[in-house]
Amino acid sequence: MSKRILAAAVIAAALLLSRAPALAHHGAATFDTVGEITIKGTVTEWVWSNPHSILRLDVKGDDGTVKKWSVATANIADLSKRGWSRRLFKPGDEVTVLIQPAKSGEPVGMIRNVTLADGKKFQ
Amino acid sequence: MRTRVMATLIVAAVAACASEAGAQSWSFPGLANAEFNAITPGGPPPPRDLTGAWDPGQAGIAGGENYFSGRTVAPFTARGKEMVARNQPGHGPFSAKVFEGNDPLTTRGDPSGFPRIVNYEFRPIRIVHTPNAVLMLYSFNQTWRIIWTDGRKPPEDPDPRWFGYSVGRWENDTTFIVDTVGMTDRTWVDSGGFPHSEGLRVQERYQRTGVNVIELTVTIDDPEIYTKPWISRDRMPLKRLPDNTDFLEQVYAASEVTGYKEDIAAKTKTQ
Repeated sequence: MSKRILAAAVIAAALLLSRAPALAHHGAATFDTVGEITIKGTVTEWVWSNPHSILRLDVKGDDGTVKKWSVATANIADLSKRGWSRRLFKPGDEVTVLIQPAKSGEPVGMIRNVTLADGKKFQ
Repeated sequence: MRTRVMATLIVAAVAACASEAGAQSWSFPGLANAEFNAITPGGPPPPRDLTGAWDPGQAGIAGGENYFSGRTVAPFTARGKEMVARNQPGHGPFSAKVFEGNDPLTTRGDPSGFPRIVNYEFRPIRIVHTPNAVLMLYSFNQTWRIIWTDGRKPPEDPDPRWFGYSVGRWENDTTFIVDTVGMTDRTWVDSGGFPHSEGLRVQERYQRTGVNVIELTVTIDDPEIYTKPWISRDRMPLKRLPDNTDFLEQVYAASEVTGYKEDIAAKTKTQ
C-alpha cells in the first residue's frame, strides 16, 4: 500500500512539474503587483507573441463604463507546451481571467489563468 | 508487484511519448518536464558525433525561478562592477522593476549573441556535422553558429561580432571542445545582466554520455570583468529528440518586444 502511495505521489509530482506554469517570464519581484483579482470581459485581441503574449479585453464595470485591459502571459513556446495556441481566443469571446494587476493602477497585469465560456481553464 | 508493473508501464509510456515527440509534426515547442526526465543516456554513443535534434529542457530556458540553474558567478573586478551597474535585467540577483528594464534582447530585440544563446532561452537545437565544421542551429531566434573544425586557430585581433569566432576539436571520442573569442560587449552573458568585455573567452564542453544525452559545460573567462573564470552551465543535459523534429519558431522580434514594453511594462510604473 505504501508503495502504491509513493508511486502515486511520484507520478503526481512529475505531472505537476510538467504542468506548472512558468509563472511570469519576469520574477514577481520585478512586476509590482497587488494581490490577485478576477476580471470578466470580452476579448478584443489576442496577441500571440514573444517574450509575452497579450490578451486585450473590454471589461464592463458596475456603472456600465468599459475599461480596456491588457494582460500578459508567457512566451509562445512555453504557452504551446501548456496547450495554449494562436487560436485559443478570438474577438468577441467571453472570458474570466485571474490576474495580478499592476500596482500602478493602470489596467494591465499578468495572467494567472483564463477560463473560457465553456468552463475550460488554461494556465 | 502490481504497483511495480503499473509504474513500469507508466514510465515506458512517458518514454515512448518522448521518443515520438514531434515526429512528423510541425512546430515542436520542447519537451515537458516529465518527458525530458524520462529520457536516459541509453547505449554508448557513436564516436565523435553530435548529430541530431536536442532539447536542453527547462534548465536551458533559465528564466524566472530557473535562473540560478548551474551558475556560480565569480566576483567582479572594479571594471566589472562599473559595467554591471548599468544593466537592469529581468532575472537574477540584479533584477530591476520591469518598467526600468534595459535588457538588449528582451527590451530592444538585439540578438542574444554568444554566449547568451546557450545561457538563456536555450531551446531545442539541431547539430549538423560537415567535413570542416559543426553547425549549431538554434530554434531560439532561428540563429546559427559555425564551429570550424578544419584546424584553424582563433583570430588574433578580431573585429567583435555578436556570436564571436568559434573553433572546435575532439578531446576524445565523446568530448567536443569549442573555444570562442571576439564577442561584442553589447551583449550580456545571460539574462541576469552579467556583462562581458571584448576580451571574453568562452569554452564549451559537449560530452556525449550516451546515445540520447549530451552534457554541456560552459566556462566564462574574462579577466577584465571577473576575478576568475566561472561556470555558467554545469553539465547541463541536452536530450535527444527524433531527428525529424520540426521546431517551433521562437523569435523575439524587435516589434514584439517593444510592443510589450509600451503596452504593459511602461504602464506598471509607480510614482
